[in-house]
Amino acid sequence: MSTFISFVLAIISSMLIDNVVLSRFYGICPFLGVSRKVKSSLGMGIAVVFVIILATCICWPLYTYVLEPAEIPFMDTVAYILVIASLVQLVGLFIKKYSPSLYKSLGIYLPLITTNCAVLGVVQSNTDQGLTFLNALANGIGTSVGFLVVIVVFSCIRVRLESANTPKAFKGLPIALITAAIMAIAFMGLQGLFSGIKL
Amino acid sequence: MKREKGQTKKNFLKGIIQENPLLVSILGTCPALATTKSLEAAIGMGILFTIVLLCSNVLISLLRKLIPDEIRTPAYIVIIATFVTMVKMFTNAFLPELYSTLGVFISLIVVNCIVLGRAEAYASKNGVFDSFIDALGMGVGYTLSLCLLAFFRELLGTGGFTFGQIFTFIPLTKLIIPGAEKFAISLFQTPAGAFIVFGIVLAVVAFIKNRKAELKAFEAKQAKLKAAEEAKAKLAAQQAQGGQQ
Amino acid sequence: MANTKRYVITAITLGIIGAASAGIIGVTNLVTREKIKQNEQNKINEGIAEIFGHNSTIFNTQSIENEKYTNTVYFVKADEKNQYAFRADGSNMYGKISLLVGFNELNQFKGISVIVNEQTYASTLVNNYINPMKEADNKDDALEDVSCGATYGAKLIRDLVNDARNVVKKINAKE
Repeated sequence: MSTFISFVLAIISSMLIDNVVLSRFYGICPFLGVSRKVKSSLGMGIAVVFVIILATCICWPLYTYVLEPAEIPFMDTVAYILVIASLVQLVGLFIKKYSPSLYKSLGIYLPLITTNCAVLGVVQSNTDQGLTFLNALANGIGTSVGFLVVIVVFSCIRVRLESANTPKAFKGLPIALITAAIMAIAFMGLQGLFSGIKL
Repeated sequence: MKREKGQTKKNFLKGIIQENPLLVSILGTCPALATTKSLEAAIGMGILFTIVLLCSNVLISLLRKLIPDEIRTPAYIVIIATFVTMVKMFTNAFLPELYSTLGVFISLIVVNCIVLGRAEAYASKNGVFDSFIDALGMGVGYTLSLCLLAFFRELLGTGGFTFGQIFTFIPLTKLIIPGAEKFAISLFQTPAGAFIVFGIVLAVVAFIKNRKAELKAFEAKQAKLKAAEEAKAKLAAQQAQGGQQ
Repeated sequence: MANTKRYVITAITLGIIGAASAGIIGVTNLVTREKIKQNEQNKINEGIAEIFGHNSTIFNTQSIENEKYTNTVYFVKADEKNQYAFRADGSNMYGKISLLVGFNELNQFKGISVIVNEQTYASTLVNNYINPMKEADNKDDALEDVSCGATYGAKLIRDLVNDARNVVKKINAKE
């Protein structure tokens, strides 16, 4: 199997089949919290894509070329969370300096990303699963784009739910969760998508 | 002294009921959905979470005057990550089954909003004992709500409960309702089932809240009516008195 | 001046917290390392008992190195016959997997036991491929039937088993 095809398949698989929110349960907090408006969910999603890809590119070499040769692989979680926290700060400063308009739309979501478990979850499972750098990158891209897709779709649904006539007890979050369940069922249908592809 | 005792109890109970981190504040939802496939996993996750919360709350409350304000958040994150790594290693050594079941979600306690939230909101402002009680209440409250979700998911998804698969020191026991196995809805073991159960539980919580609010409003209305009636009666009595005179 | 002092204090505090954290984690690692190693060994023993039955004993181990992998062969005595268990590690784009592959004295594939399964679709793989294989009468056919919803993981297992078969054949030829 050529490397390129496997790269693309890994992206699609972590984006759709094993979706980050609907089947791996990373990043439920922003998924429920920042999805009231389409615009804000788009901003959050793009910020997450940005940070996850950068964090993958830093943390994977950090683990493989620094922590593992130094025989301290058990420091991984501490190192990752520090990298992510400082990365979020740096990205914030960088965007503020070079593109104030982008900062205006993304800036408020950046601090929220430090405690978004999607970022740490992807970075940690990359090294826990022993992926190669290319596959780790594919996992990062796929996961973050999957997050973006799902949170935008979900916010579109939620906008309509606001005006729907739901029972009083289900108003707000409960009906949003039920909607997410139906989305998860829909995504379950994608399992085994690659079974037919001969490589 | 007695008042202090009452306060401690109140401090403990608020984490379980009024400010339940999962069901009322809706924090820490990721592990709540991912680790509630079985009751045992939920209990294990709850215990690990409580240990981390207790340790970090106590230490942060001890160090609250030493840590400069500018680096509060990074310092807290490092402290929490240290405890999480310790808990992770001990789990790997002494309960390997729990470690492999929870997987990456043990590491993800680091970014659980509850732990950092309690550190910022409570432990950095209060004494050691109060922080300890606060953490204990929050931890127990979180564990109980995880168990609530897991109870429904395992019961509906498998038709009963299995113990001893993760905590290998207790013998393997299966408590399955006879005949229920055939009617188990395996959807509840999948991610979709987690969302459904969580949604319905939140709806029940909202229902109780609404009911309480309605009851309060009703009582307030009754009290108002009663007060008005009393005032009326008083007025009437006064008038009657005036008439007699 | 006051600012400089403040920066120094901040840096020192952060440094102390970082150093203390590293120290504590290091000590914890020392305490738990042996136990974790022992857990892995227990898992291997359990796997051998699962494949060969409870009357089996490991009487020799040998590590094998070639350009592709470094692995361990366990020589197992079960039912008075010399049999082999092969520790095979592999990984694909969904993560790593570590298996114990059993062969009987005639080099026939006898069964597998999973030691580490870090695959993304780990549970699908176990439920739809490994468990049916454990129950199947004809293990070789079950091994070839890789369509299970986690096809890449199943293919990885098949390749690992076939690699192990070749290595065990070589050992037999030498003897």
